Amino acid sequence: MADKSFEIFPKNSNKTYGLMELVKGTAPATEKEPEDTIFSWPHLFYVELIAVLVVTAALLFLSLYVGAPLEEEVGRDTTPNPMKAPWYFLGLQELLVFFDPWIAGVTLPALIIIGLMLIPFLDTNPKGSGSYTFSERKLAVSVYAFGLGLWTALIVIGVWFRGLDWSWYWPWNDLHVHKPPIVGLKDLSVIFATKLGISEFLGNTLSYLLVLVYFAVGLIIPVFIFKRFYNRLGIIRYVTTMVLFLIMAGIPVKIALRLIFSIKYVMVTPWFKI
Amino acid sequence: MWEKLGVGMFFLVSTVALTFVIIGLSSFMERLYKRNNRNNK
Repeated sequence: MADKSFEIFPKNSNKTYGLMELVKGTAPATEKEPEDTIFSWPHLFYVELIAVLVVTAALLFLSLYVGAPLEEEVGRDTTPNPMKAPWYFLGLQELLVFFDPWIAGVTLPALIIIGLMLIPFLDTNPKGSGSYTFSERKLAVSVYAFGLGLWTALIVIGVWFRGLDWSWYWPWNDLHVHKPPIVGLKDLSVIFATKLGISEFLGNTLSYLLVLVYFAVGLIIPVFIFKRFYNRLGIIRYVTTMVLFLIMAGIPVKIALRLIFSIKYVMVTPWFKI
Repeated sequence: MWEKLGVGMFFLVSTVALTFVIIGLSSFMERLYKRNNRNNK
């Protein structure tokens, strides 16, 4: 078989080159010889075209031979129990169990979108630009995987572990029998007040302090442990990154506190509850 | 109490497990990419 490879910059080329601009920093092709690169057309585009055709064909066959799981016609005076959103919204619906509707439905999704949009401005790691692999950016990929894992876990719970009245149903529970409603959920401030024998105001203040300590410790401790990380980012980028991370890490903590210790809200303010 | 603990632990463990699954998939894709890249040279 004839060798089809060709030189990108032939040595006896009559082309002339001029220096257009000097750019600081590194680029994906910085350490590569011209012979080590290939054109996206046709090498990449052919692969992409084949992938598009395969996916389109698979979707076409699926839609032809697998029926959509539609339920019976909607009745005016019967509401299905449980009323489940499409699977991709069930993570959001599951969050509604644990947070105020506007926090679960508006603030948290908005923070996810804002956080994702901020990544290019917060990420200063020059490694692996062009190929964002785990070995080159362990922290970034781990944090992202945690967010995606949390979101997927919420969807899994919503799809397979919620039944009548949005109660928790294990796979071995009868889905047609109502579970007793959860009673005894208490705000953390009330627990503080009763256990420590202090006024509700002081209990409330203590719960505010606890949230403050969570963010303060989360912001200050990594400065000393990961000095290089802090120095590389600078204060503004560091604080933005860490606040977003601490909010994300706080979500499973809050959910677990509710599920295991029956703590309804960690912090109750006149405007919002978390 | 055990029911509550089970539910809470299930949520936490599945979150952590899914995180590692996603990281594993990411590493697997990287290895696959690097192997193919070597073979194409």
